[in-house]
Amino acid sequence: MTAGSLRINGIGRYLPSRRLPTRPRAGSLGISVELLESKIGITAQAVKDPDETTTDMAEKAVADLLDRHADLPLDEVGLLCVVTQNPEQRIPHTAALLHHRLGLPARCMTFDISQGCAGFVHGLAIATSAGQRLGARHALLVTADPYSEIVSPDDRESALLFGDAATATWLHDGPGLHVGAMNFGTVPGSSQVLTCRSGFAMQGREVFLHAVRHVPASIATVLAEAGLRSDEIAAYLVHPGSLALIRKLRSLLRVDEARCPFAVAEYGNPVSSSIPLMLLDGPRNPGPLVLCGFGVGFSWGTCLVEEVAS
Amino acid sequence: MAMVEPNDILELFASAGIDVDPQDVVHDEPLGRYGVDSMDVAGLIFEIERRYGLTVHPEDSAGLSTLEDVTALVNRLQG
Repeated sequence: MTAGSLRINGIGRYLPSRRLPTRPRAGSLGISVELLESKIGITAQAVKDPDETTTDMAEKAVADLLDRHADLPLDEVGLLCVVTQNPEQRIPHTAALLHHRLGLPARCMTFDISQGCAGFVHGLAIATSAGQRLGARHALLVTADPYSEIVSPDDRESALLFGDAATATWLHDGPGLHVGAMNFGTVPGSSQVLTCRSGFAMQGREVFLHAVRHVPASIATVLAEAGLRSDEIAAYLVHPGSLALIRKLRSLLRVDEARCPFAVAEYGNPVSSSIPLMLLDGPRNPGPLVLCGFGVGFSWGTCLVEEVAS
Repeated sequence: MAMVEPNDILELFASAGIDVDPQDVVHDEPLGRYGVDSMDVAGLIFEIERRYGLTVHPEDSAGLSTLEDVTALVNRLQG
């Protein structure tokens, strides 16, 4: 797969200020403090206001991006992709709603990606490829997935896991993080491990197993394609499904906590926003980064990004 | 193929991250009594898959409770 010429130039985020501590609710869900703290790893969950929409969250993430990067030329954005599984409307796509809010130009491609925790990497692959094909000089990749709208507070598997968040990533045709080797996949017959019909349902054991079976191999494939050794990777920004899962993946990847962080304890697993949030807050060591998301599908996406000066 | 014994499974506890003294485990008691939770079981299943070259499907692992259950499952999947 060839990489596009658009590169990551900046990231903005929106984390709702409201937090729900997990510990007071653990007992009523039959979750021990030991399980909560040493396996799930979430101390509080970010929760949006009830009347706050997915588009509201996305717009706030873009506003933060603009605060950080006032030189982002909205009138030159040629592609807007929103990763969400919780659009406020079935029609139109959230990207169209956001396009209007931001006042983006008519010549801007807009589309949503219905992907979960692997959505950011999927979005990077599609936005860089389509952007290159379109000749777009600027693109926005937005993640916004308020799982608080679908997760039951009584569901033991998921009630203390997720947090609401949104991010906005500016891609442009200048210096920045270049998106290199990629690997994607979906496990045949695994589509029911994470579902939402009348409510969100997660088969936690199967999610864990699919992740430990497939994520290390996906990362190894990307490293092999790029001709890199594991010790040449500055950091592995792996979707923090849970603390126990990240610990297991660290063990399998033979990397330590410093290079494979679990950074969501204070706001919860933010689904497709996890990787851009880690990119924004995360490693300052020079060198290539592995980005890897996995979840709903059961699908995964892994890619390599590395700073390119020109 | 040699039959798998409960002690063979207990040997996988450490690599599965299960912090239980294998000597404490009574083979026909629910593992939950020793603090083994659902995530521990997932980790144990993965270590079983690696050790014995098996794939454990959801329908195989449903209802696993005791060390004897886990041992019987491995022997059944190994045929």
